[in-house]
Amino acid sequence: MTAPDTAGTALSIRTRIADLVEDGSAHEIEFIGRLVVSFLERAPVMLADLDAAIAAADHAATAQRAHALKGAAANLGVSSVAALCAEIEQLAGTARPGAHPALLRSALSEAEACFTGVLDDLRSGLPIVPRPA
Amino acid sequence: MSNESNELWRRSSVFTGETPSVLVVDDEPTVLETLTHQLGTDYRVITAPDGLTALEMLENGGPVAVVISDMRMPDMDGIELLGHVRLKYPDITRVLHTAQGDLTSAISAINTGQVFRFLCKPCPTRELRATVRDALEQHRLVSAEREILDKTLRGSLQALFGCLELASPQAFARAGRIRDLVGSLCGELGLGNAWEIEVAAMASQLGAVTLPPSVLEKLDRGMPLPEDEQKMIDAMPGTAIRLLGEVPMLENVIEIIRGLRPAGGVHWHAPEEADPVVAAAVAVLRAATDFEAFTSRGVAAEHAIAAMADQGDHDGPVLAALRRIRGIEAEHETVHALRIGELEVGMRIAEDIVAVNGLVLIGRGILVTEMLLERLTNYKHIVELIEPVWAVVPDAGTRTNAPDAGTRTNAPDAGARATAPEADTGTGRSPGKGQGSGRGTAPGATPVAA
Repeated sequence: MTAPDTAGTALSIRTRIADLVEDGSAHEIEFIGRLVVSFLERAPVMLADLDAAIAAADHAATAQRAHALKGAAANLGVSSVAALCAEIEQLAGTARPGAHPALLRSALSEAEACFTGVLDDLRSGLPIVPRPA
Repeated sequence: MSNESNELWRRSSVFTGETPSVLVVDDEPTVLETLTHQLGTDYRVITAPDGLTALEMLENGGPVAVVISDMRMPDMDGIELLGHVRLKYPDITRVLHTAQGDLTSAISAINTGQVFRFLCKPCPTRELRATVRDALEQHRLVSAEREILDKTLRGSLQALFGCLELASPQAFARAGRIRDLVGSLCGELGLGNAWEIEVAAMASQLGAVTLPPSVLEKLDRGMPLPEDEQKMIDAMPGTAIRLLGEVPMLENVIEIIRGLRPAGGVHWHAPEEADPVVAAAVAVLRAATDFEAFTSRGVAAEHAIAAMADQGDHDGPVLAALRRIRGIEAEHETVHALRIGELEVGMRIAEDIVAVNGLVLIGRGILVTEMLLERLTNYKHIVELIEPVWAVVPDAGTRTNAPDAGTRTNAPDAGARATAPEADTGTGRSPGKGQGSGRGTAPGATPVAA
């Protein structure tokens, strides 16, 4: 079972958002904000669906739902959630247990806090990716 | 998040008719939003949430240059979708957008030729744009190559049929009559790819250049032939196959011609690997050729169709379509006797135009064009033509006959019908249409004096 890498996820989210910023206009920041909100609203629903599939020992549905959440998380750089989902997807139907959904919930909460910080920085015109040391 | 919100952000981009379209397919809406955001400044981005919707969009929407598809989607995965795209729209460049864990299938897709590139999720904007740029260049190259091939093919076929017209106006006119009927039958039967069938109809007569004039005359008049002459007719498809065998993109045309069985021979069956259109095309072309033979010897259309039904070796649906097109007696068509100088563009030659020495210069069924009038003028300087010539005049029912011009009407019971409805045979959308050939009149109609 893999423990989420909080610092790595924060960097990954910031790197991804920075990559998506084209001109930094208010309109664009608003768009990115909506994209993040959309993910944060849908992720708990997807996680609940995943929980249900795991509880029902429906391996195909478990793999499919883990894959869906993995894609949505990776899209915004939420590497911790993506990695945990990848593990669940890979181990679905095998004897080995995948990541516990509680870990995913925790990783999602941390991602949400990170998104808040990134969006605040964006709106304040601050750099969102730390300069390389 | 709705598409509209993203489009609002992208509204500042100015697209023209030349802006390439990129179709992105993913079952995760935020991925579609993100890709649209990353590409939307430079390209017209359209999105589909699954493979079936993507195929519908390709079918019903505007042209697309690149498809970027997710790998794992419900119902139809990315490899299957891109496989369909490859078959149906080979010019579209295909890109697979995969999660890290799908690398094996992505590599396999590239190696089997299903896709041009694959991108890992999440794809950095710079890499995504560079890939789409390369994909567009690939699309441009493939499209340009295909266009050149299309033009070359069209031009080559026109030249080939032009040679047939010069070498044997009679055979060319006969080919045109068969081609027109084939076009009408294809329209009636809802057959796609009509151009291949019509080219096969024209090409099936190329072998006529090898026939002695006496045999060609008998063929043109649908007269019975002794065994040795029939063998010459049976060899005609083989000549066409030899002439066209090395021409690219004519595989179906060749197969259709191959399917024209020798008269009295055994039934032909399409090879298993053949395009489904081939079997239907052979049935249509055989029916049109036989019908032309009957009507050329003056058999009335409905009697010809009845005789073909009695033969028992024609497809029922094709005969039914033939009956709908040609079997019902329509209003009479008036044929005018005219001097060569009175022929006008738009008229249709109703009887072969023949020189006094018996040489057929223009076959019946041919539409009068500027070029044809010029040729006739040239002929008149060289040989004496038999006049009057007989022509169907457009809107003849409302015209007053010119002085000295006799008229005659196709009588229903005299085995002479030139009353077929005009049929759209798709001129201009297919390669290799012979120019100025007969269009719309019944093949082989023999006008009878009223």
